[in-house]
This record gives sequence, C-alpha cells and structure tokens, in this order.
Amino acid sequence: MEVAPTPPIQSQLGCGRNIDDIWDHIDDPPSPHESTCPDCQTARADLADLVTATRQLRTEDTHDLHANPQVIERILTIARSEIRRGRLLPLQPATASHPSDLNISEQAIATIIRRVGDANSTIQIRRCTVRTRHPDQQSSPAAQSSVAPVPDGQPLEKPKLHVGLRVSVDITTPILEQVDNLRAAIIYAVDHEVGMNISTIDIDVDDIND
Amino acid sequence: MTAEPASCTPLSEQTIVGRAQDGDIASFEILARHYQGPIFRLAYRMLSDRGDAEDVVQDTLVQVWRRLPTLTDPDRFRGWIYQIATRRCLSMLRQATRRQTQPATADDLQSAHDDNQDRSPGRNEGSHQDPASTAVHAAQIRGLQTQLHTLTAEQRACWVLRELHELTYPEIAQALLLPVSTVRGCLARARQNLARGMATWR
Repeated sequence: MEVAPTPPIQSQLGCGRNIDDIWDHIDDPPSPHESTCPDCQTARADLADLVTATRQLRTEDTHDLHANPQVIERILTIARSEIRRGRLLPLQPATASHPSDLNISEQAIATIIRRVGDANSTIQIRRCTVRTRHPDQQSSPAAQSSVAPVPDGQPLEKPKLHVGLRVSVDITTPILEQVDNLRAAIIYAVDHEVGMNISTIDIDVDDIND
Repeated sequence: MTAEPASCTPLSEQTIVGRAQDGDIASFEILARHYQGPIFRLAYRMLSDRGDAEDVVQDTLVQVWRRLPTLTDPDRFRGWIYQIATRRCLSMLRQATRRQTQPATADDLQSAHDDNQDRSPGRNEGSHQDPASTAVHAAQIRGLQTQLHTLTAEQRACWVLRELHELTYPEIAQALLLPVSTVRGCLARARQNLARGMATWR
C-alpha cells in the first residue's frame, strides 16, 4: 500500500544548508562554512541556546517536579483492592467428613518461590504458576485446582503442587547446575514454610541476565 | 531499572514486569514508584497543570495494573507505559480545546510564563556561574517553557519525549502510534519553532 510522503519541511537556511545538519553537529566546533556564514551563525546561536536551555530544563524538572505523595498511595490502594490472588489451594488434604478449610492462595506460594529464587540463585524468576494437578493430567477444566476428598479411614496424603516457572539465567555458570539448585531450594522452602509437597517444577528459560 | 532483592543479582525490569503480570503487588509497586516521576513530568509539560498531571499519573498506573496481563512483550514495557500516558495527555488536550472558544491569547501565554517564574524561586542560587549569566540562563529556561505552549500538541509530545525523556524514535513512534518518519518530521518542526522563539529571549 502506498503511503503519501510527508510534505518537505522548510528546514533550509538562506545559504542552502539544512537546519537538521546544524542540529546534528551543534556540539562540534563550527565548520569552515559555518564560521563565515551569517545564516548558519544565527541558526547555530539559536540552536545552541535551545540545547543549553533544554539540558537545564531536564535537570530542573527532575529535581523540582514531583507529584503529591498521596497519588502513589491512592494508586496502590486501588491496585490492592483489585488484587489477583489466583486460586485457593488446600493446605491439608480433605476427607469426606472434613473438607479442607485451611487454604493458601496461589499468589502466596508464588511469593515464597520468588523469594527463594532471589535469595538462593542467579536465576531470576519472571513468571510463576502453581497448580495442584499437573496440566497434562487434567481430566476436566473444573478439576484443575481441586483435590478429590479422601474417603474416611484412608491414609492422608498431603496435596501435591505442580509449579511452572519462566526464568532468566546467568550465562557464566552452567545452567543445569543453577536449575537443579533452584529446584532443591524451592522444594525445601515450600515444605518448610507451608508444609506442602511439590511434585514437579517445570522451568522454561526465556532469557539471559544482562 | 533494576531492583535489589534480599541478596544476589539486581532484578531486571523484565523480571519485575513479569511478576507484576502474575499479580505480585510488591513488583507493581516497584514499577509504579519508578515511573510516577517521569509520567508526572511528561504530563506537566504537556498540560501545564499540576492537578491534571497528577490525574494522568493515577489514570496511567491504574490502567497499567489492570492491563498488564495483556502485555505480550515485557521488553516493551517502557514504550507501553509512555504510550498510555501520552495518549491520556493528548486526549485531555483535545477535550480542553473543544471547550475553548478562542485560541491561546498573549495573556494566557503571559500567565503561563508567570507561573513558571514562581515555580522555582532561587533555583540558580548556589550555582558557580556569575549572576549575569545565571540570570540569562534562567530567562532562557523560562522562555523555553513558555515557547513549549506555542507548539502543537503533537510537536510538544515529540519534543518532550525526545529531549526531556530521551525516548528513542521507535519508542516515540509507539507512544504516539505514528510512523518513525512522521516523528522525525514533527521533531524537526518543533526544534525550528523553539529555536526561533529562543531568539526573542536572548
């Protein structure tokens, strides 16, 4: 599809030079032509003033222009009221007569996992999902986050978690080593802090740390 | 932008964005605190009103929180947030223009100039320049602030995003939903108009 060209800018000085050329070289000493041409000298003076004033404005604004501190607090209040907790996951296995009423949110477990990654690893965890049933094993969408109650009298098994991570890794150390260390640290921390077992941790490497 | 966790390597912006996308409020707070300053300064230069600029900050960051899950490429977060903020500013300017019956008069420009004079009294005190050149510089900055009002909204946006926020041409194009070539032309016109205006303040 042809797009109509933008109309030419009147950026030529009386001497035929282009004002954009002068702008591009404003920090350099004047060229032999510019030293003797009154049009160019005027343009350089105008642009030099603009450059100086611009730099000072940029500095001044950064120091002087601030929003009222209440603005950020209002924003965070709104965000907290619209928080996305994710699914609730049972801390204990349910039985037929004692449905689980102690739950923890997906978000809370993800927070534990991210903190573990930050403290123990060169890996940066970007995305984190937590499920109680492996995505490959789902029999129906409704079963995705529920755990079937165990009939009374049966031995109780702790709910098992399936974790999916998207990460950025360090390239100066072997990636497998980083990944194995991270898995071990996460499994330990989640068991230690909330008493839940992790069955699988799927890790997708998206990127490399700068 | 990076953030320091408990120990280890500083977290990249993409990591913070990814976590905020997952709903981690602490990560969103890091982004909000980092970008509130630049967004406020952009909006103030576009709208010349503190209250309006604060509205833009709030609208933009709340939009970011709600629409973060839709951002497919965390690498483009900076261009994306500037896009939301710039479009909000341009929308408010359009509404103001529709309400106005006359274009900006010399009186409007003078009162805007006076507002700028009041804003930072004694800003150049303590500078090691001599008083004469300090006064000249102060006058030129006030002149520049006033001249910005004479640009079209689009020219002002291009110039502020480039010169005060140092966005790249592609980022400015993303913010304004314009081709890069149009951005270049717009910026050239803005520079010329401002430079011509600077001559009157020398």
